[in-house]
Formats: sequence, structure tokens, C-alpha cells
Amino acid sequence: MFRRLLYKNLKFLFRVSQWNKHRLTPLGLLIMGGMISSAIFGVDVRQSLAFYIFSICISLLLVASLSLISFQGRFGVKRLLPQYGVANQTFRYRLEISNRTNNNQQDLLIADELQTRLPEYSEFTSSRDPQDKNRNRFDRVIGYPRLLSLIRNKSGGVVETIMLEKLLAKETMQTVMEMTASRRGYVNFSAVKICRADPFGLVRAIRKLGHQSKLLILPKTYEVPVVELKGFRKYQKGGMSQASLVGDSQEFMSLRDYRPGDPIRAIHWRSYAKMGTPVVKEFHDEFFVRQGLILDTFQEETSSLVFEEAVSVAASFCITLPGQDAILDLMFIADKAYRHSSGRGQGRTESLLETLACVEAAPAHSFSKLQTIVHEHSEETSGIICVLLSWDSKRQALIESIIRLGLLVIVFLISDNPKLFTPEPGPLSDQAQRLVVLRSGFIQADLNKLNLSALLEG
Amino acid sequence: MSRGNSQLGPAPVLLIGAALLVWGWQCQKLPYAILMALLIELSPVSPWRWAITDKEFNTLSDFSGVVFFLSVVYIFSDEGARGIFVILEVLPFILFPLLLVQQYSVTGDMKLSALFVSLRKLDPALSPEAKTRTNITLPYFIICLLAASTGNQRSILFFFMVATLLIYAIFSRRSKRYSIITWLATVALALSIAFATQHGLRSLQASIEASFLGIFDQFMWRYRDPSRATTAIGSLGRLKLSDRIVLRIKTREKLLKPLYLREASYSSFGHGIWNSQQSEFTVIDPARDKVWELNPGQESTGKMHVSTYMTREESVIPVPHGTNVIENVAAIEIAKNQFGAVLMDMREGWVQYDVKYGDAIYADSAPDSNDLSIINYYRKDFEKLAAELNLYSMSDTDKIKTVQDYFHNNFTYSLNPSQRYPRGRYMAKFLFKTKRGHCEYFATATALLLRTVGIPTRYAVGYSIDEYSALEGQYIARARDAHSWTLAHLHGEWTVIDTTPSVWSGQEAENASVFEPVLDLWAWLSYSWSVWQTDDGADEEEENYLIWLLIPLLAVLAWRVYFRERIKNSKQGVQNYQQIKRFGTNSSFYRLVQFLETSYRPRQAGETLGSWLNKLKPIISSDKLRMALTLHYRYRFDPAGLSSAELSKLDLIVHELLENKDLWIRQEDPNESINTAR
Repeated sequence: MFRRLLYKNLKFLFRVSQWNKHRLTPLGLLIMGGMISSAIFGVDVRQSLAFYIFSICISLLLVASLSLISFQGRFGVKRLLPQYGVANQTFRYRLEISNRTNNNQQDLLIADELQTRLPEYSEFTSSRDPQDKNRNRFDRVIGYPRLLSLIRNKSGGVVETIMLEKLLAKETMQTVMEMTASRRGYVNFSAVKICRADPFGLVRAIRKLGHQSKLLILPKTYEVPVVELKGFRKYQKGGMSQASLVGDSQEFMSLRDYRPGDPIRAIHWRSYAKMGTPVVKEFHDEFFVRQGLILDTFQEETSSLVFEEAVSVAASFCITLPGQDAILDLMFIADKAYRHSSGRGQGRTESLLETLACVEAAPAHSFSKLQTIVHEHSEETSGIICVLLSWDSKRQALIESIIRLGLLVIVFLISDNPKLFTPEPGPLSDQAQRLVVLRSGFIQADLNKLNLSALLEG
Repeated sequence: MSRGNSQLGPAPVLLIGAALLVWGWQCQKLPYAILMALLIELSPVSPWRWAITDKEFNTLSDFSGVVFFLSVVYIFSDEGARGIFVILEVLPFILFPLLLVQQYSVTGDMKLSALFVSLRKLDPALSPEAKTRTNITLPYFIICLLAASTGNQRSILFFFMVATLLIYAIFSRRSKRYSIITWLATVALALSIAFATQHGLRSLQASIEASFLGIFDQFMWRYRDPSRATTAIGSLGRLKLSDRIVLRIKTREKLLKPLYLREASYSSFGHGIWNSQQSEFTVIDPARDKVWELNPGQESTGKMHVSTYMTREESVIPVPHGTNVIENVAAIEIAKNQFGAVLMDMREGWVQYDVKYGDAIYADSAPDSNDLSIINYYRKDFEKLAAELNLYSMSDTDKIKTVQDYFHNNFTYSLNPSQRYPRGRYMAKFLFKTKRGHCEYFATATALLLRTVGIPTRYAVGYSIDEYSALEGQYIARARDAHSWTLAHLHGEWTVIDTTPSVWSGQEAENASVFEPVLDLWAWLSYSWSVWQTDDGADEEEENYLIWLLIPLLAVLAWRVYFRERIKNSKQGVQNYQQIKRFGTNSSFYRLVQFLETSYRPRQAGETLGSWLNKLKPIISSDKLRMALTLHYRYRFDPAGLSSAELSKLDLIVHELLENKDLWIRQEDPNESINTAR
């Protein structure tokens, strides 16, 4: 009850602070602060003269607010976004602003707004903030910084405001905006605010122009070593159609008679001329390395932070393909089982990253689907890299089944639980070096310490 | 186009100095204020700069925080509620070191995390506020104004001073979009409204006070006037006194019955007011150090330790009846009057003293005609009641017993007189009609009834104590335990007669706040702190130990700030504050750069001067240019800088190159050459 009430108050506080942030300039905030302080200290006019300060501050703010009525500007905006952004990185984009009036405009503050949905109470109570461990007890208990962080994460980032010194009448100008994305996935731009300060420079008049756009933010990636599993090359049922250009596909085996359906380019014209009937070239079947990458999406008891780290690690492996003639199959379970391939003309790395940008946690009961998808493709898979969130019995069973299928496996266990920092290898007891723990928050440091040769041994 | 600045930025020149002077004038600290203002306003022109790191800013900010905290504790315990204004008044002192160091630092600002400890450990990548920088001059300016508002000069001049300073502060940030005339007209409008507002606020408070002062008075500490006591007899509204603990008593034995601690007693009554106009206080000479004998030679049978809160330096203190000796208190003066009131001159706040007392009440003077007088208005009522009770025919002892029994058996205690006594003859209505009232009714009625039958009486006020605090290990009395009773002169002695039904204490307690235990704990902690801090036995010098405590802290800070070779005299080549912020930005080489950029090829963002000049090689060839660049780099980035001779040399080369462009710029189509170079 108390926490719910507190949460409502925090939301109210957030709205007030947002209002203040846009409506008041830094100097306006100072005058507002002075007004509030002087109101407190000057409540008894006999005790102090703070009521003089209060009178002046409130009058300045009042007159400043009244002068905003005169802001009659008409503007047009157009957002020119890049194809992607990357989580936790700052990128730039252009915003085209046109002044549609016959008056010059000066000193305009431009703020691009991201669609922001305030979190529900349950989201607020269940959320965790990586910064919480660095905060004091009061901040942790009250949770306002956590709420801010949650809202920032929900909106997808922060866009810096810019000051436009002059915008001439009927002129269109391009401004460069700077955004720092705070998470992967789509961010929705909702509106552009054009603000103009009053003569005192305390309060801003705001013109809000609705202009919606979407931008996909790719997951953050780490620098990972190229892991080439010493797996066997496997027969690929798809043959040429699966990998048309590279590899062993042009290896000639024999000639045979033409059968309907054979491609024209397979006809051996010289033999055709000699024999008078069509003869086609027969090639070896397709054999090449196909590496699986399993992303554990069963968040269950682990925090969303660990899940995000796991997505980042998976994305890092996607952009570091194991050699030119290999295929990487990304497998994970979300609302259904997904298997996306990249390499040898199967798909671009970007499409894998796009998929990972939008991947969400899966319901716990569908874990068996992961096993099914691995088994389905075990015939053509050479080795598997697993990015796991936990090391419980069902995950160990999955790894055991993969080993039983004769596949090489490396497990990257992402965890923030100190108990899991030195896990029992379980099914990997014979090759314990292939169970690598990456501590949440220290992923890059742990990856740097990785001994690749030991990892690929045996 | 620029990044939208969300920072306050520095205050315009002379603003802080002026604000400090106003503060100094208002708070009578002008010598300090002049010195502080000079130190701040000289900072832009001074060549001295401290290379203060973020960590040292944190230390300094922490130090200011500690000083602030100690000041709050010290001032609050010393000054009580008024302390808040004292703290505000000294705030410019407390924050001055932080401002001074900022102004003389190389960066000229500090990280926001220096002020907020909670931001220090945050990862700047995830929390942008952790890397935000701030300048505290403008907040300090507002603090100076607020501090000045606590001062003594209650003149309208202060209004105009504040207005001038605030207008000056916003003048530098005004939007250039508006003409100066428009701006001034808007300022004039705002100031007119402000002037009217301050006048309105004063009138508003006056009218509120007139209406509600009585209500507020109920909740405040009340000063006991030993010569006059206004009762709530006939008052409208519910009587509610606070739960605040006002008295603490330590006794050797457990109390078997309520203990009466008297503050004063009165002899004459009329229309709701008891008074003792003949009251005369006699100063008592201390018998020994910290020992005052009120009744020398009288035997004492009991002893108690009393702690009470004095609302004035000179105040009536509660003592038990029969008090003979007051001791172990560093009072300036103690006096007593003939009605048993004890007046102590010491200081405001909690005071403690030991009391030795006997069974008999010796301090009170013998009864006189005033102790038998009855207001004519009620005389007939009391005579009628005395007749009804057959008091005239009884012995004095029986009279008292009958009166006590009569009130106990027929009357009830009530705190809510408003519903019962609208107006008029409230005492008669109490006696014959409603038979409900609070202690003042009972004590007054008893006193007047006994007077009717010839027994001299007085009306006594003080506290009735029977609440034991397990937390404190002593008896306590709250404001709501204030009580009144009657003193009757019987067989040559004054005797306590309390006819108020004994349920009164319980009924009062029923109205206690649900937060009472928490408030009690807080009261106990603040009381303990206050007692510890104001050790009455300590010498004057020892009382200021907190100030001595600050000295080692200041020494540590001084060591950290001053003696770690942090002070750098950057006179060489540095003319003013702006130049110090970025060494060598006034290099004459930039004139060459500007010429080449405007004439040939602009330098790209991030492109070094060296690589840019290399790209211009097809059109320029000069060893002198290369030499000038080397000198410029040294001037710009070498911590040792350039000697004055080298600086002159750089200026000379640049001058020569600009004057004789033909000698080093090839006479061919520059654009073509550059394109080739690309």
C-alpha cells in the first residue's frame, strides 16, 4: 500500500520534473528554486525578509509566463534517420526544420521526443537497475533513480536538445541531433518540440509538432575471438541451393544422362555434341562447416540485465563468423522456435542482428522446443556455441544431449550470481574448459581472458 | 546551432561580490563579507589557479557537508526552532570554501557528483548525470540573498537591493530577440507586481494573525506568568494540549500517587482570571556554590532531579510543594515569591536541577483577606451550595472532606466545554447544571466554595506527574499534564486539595497521537543531545569544543588542498582566466590558420595542423611556416610553455609570413593544386 502510494508520488514527481525541464530554462529553475526557498523561510514576514525575494521571484516568473502567449510560430519538421543505431552508443541524425511564417525566429531550443510510456507498478517493483549497487540505501529503497533509469530504458534513449540561433522566414534548415540509445529494439520518435524563451530567459513557450518515426537499435556487441569449432564437415541436404557460390560445390564427380529437371548449365556440351543426347555433369554433394549458436531466452529467475548481456554476447558471435565458408545458425525460442542462418549466401549478418535486436524472453514451459530444434538440425550441424543464462538440470540435460549427438559444444554461461561463477561442469566434466562463465557487468574483461586454444582443444 | 545548454553557467561579474556585501550589511558581517567579495571578484583577474582534481572537490564538498551538519546540530540545540534562521544566516560562510576553490580552480566548475555523494559511484555511461558538470556561483548567489533576508535591517531598501541584483543576474541571459526597451518595460512591470505582492503578503499575515493567533497559541510553549493566570473557563472550542514532553523527574522511590509540581499559585479570582497582584519576588543568595536554600534550616525528607524546558532566560520553574533547597544548577539568579513560585534566571532550553523538599509548605506566606475573597458575581451561588452541603456547621476537616466527596461523586471530567457552556455564568452552570468541566473549573470552584465557608484558599497551577517512561527510566510530564488544584490553609498549614476526578489524566491520554512513541523517542534523543551538549558544569571554553573539533578537520583539508604542490603559478604566458583554461589559445599562429582557411582550404574537424599544412604543400613552401608550427605546438601543449623571447619569435615569424605572402605562396591556381594533392 505504502509502496504503491510512493510509486504514484514518484510518477507525479517525474511528470513535474519533465514539465520543469522543458518549460523552465536553467536560470528559470534557479529563480523557481529561490521562490520556493524564500516561500518556506518567509512564511512569517516578521521572522525574515525572505518574502521580498519571494515577491520578486514570483513576479518575474509570472510576467515571463504571460509574455509567452505571443509565440505564434508555424514550423515543419522532417527527421532523417540512419538505418540502425547501436545500443549504448551515441549516433547522429538530421532534423529538417522549416519556418513557415514570414517572421525570423531566434534562439529556438529544439527537443526531439521519444515515445515514453511510464512503467506499471509491477514493472517498477520487479525491475533491477545495474547502477543500484552503486547507489545509497535511500535511493535504492525509494527507487526514484531506478524509475528514471526504467523510463529511459523504455523510451530507448536520450536525445540531446540543440539551440538554433536563427531560423529565417520561410527558410528550411538541417540540424544535427545526437542520440544515445539505452537499449536494443525499436525506438519510436513521437514529436519535435520547438521552444522559445521569454524576454527574461526564464520560461519557454513550446510548440509541439507530432512527427512519428521508428529506428531499430541493434544490440551492443563485444570483441569476441573467432571460435572455429573443429567439427566435421557435414552433408548439406540443400546442396547447391543452400550454398551456391563457395566451398566444394564445383567438385566434379562423373557424367550421366540428362534427366528432366536437371539445370541447363549442368549440361556437358562437348559430350552432348559427341553422343547426340544430353549428358550432364554430376558433382559431389555439399559438405561444409555449419555452426550453431543457441541463445537461451528463458529468463525465469535471472534478471533482464543478464538476458541483455546474453543477447549482446550472441550478437558478438554473429558478427564474428567462423571463416568464410561456414554457416552460422542462430537458434532461439521466443513465441516460437527460430533458426536464422548467415554466411555462404544464406543471409546477411545484419539480418541476424536485426533478429537479435527484437528478441524477447520466452515462456519457461517452452524450453523443450530448444532441444527439438537442435535435434532437428543436428545432422547438418558441426558444432554449437551455447549462450546460457543458467546452469540448471534442464540446461545441463540439453548440453548432454548435444554431446550425445556427437557435436562439439562450447557453453558461455552469463551470470550475475556469484554461486555460478565456478559451476560444476556436469555433462562437460571431460572438457570443463568448454564451460566458460562470463560475469554480467564484466563480460569484455572475461572475454579478454579467454584462452582460445584451450577452449578448442580435444 | 549549438547543443542546448542545460547548465546554469557562471554568474556575471560582480554579482556574487554584491550579494555578499548585501548579506554582510544585513547580517552585520560586513568586514567578512568585504573580504569574501574581494576574494571572489578578484578570481577572474588573478593569475593563480589551483589544479584541483574531481576527487579533491569531493573531499572539499564532504567537508562543507560535515561543517553544515555540525552547525545544524549545534545551532538547533542552542537556538531551538529559531536556529533555522541562524543556519541560513551562516550558510554563505559554510559554502564559501567550496565556491572559492571552484573560482580559483583551473576548470572553473565541478562535477555535480561533488555535491551529491549518490552520483559518485555511478557509471557515467549508464547515468549521464554522473558526468554532468556544474558551476555553483548562481546557487550561491541565491543562498546569499536568502541569508541576507534573515538580517536585522528591516527596511524596504532590501527589497530594491534584491530586485537590482536579480535583474542584473537575468540581464546577461536575456534573449537577444527582444529589444532593450521591451526588456526594460517587462522588468518594470514585474517589479511593480513584486512591490504590490510584498505589500499584500504583509497585510495578509497581519489579518491571519488577528484571526488565528489564539488557535496557534494553544500549541506553543506557554510562559507561566507568576502574577496572572488566564483560565479556559468559559472559553469556546475544544481544549487540546500537545503530547510534547516538557518535564522529566528522577526520584529515588517509585511514586505511589501523582506528584504535584507547582509553578505558581494565585489568590484573587475574577471572571476567568486568577492573579496575585501583590506578588513580590525576593532574590535568594546562594548558600554555597550552586546551592540555594529557599527555607533555611527546614528539614527535607525527599529529593528529586528535575529537567524542564525554559522558554525564556528568566522563567518560573516547577518545584514540588515544600521545596527547601534547589541545587546543582548553574543559575545566574534564583528568586521566590510569597506564593511559592520560584523564578530562575539561567538560559533558554533544557535545564536541570536537584530539589530537596519537606512535607510542610513553608515557602508560602500566611493567608490574608485576598485568600478569602469571592467575586460578588458568584457569591450567592457558592453560599447556596455551601448551605445545601451543610458546610457551615462542620469542622474545617469535615468541610474539606465533604467538598471533595461532593465533587468526586456528582461531577464528571470533560475537555469539551464548547458544547456545554456557550456564554455567561459558566461557573454557576458548572455547579448546578452541567456538572462537567476540566481541572480549572474544579480547582476554582473548590477554592471559592471553601472560601465561602471561611477556609483561606489559593489556586495553584503546575503539573501532575504519574507517567513513567521505561525508555528514559524516569517520570515525564507532557504539555497535556498541565494541571490546577487548590491549596487550603488548614490547621496553620497549606494543604493540597485536588477535587478534579482522577480520570482526567486518562482522558487526556486518550487524545494522544498514534505517533507518540516515535515522537517520544525523538524527544528523548534530542533531549539527551541537548543535555550532553549544554553541560552546565562545563567552563565556557569547554562549551565551544565543537569549534575546536573543527580545527583538526580544517587542518586536514588545508593539507590536502594547499601543501600537495597543487598550487601553480601560471603567470608565464597566461594573461587571464579564459586563457588559463586552454593554454596557448591566444597563439598568433591562428592568424595564419585563419588566413589559409579562408583563402584556400578549410581544416576538417579533427585534422591536425600538421597534416592540414601537408595537404596545402602544393601551394605553400616555407621553412619558416614549419618553424612557426613547431613553436605553436610547444606554446599550445608543452607544460613549460614558451619563454618570452620564443613567444616574440613566433609573433615575428607569423607577422613576416602574413606581410610577405608572395614569398611562400606559389602563384598558381591554388584550387587546382589542392585537388591534385587530394
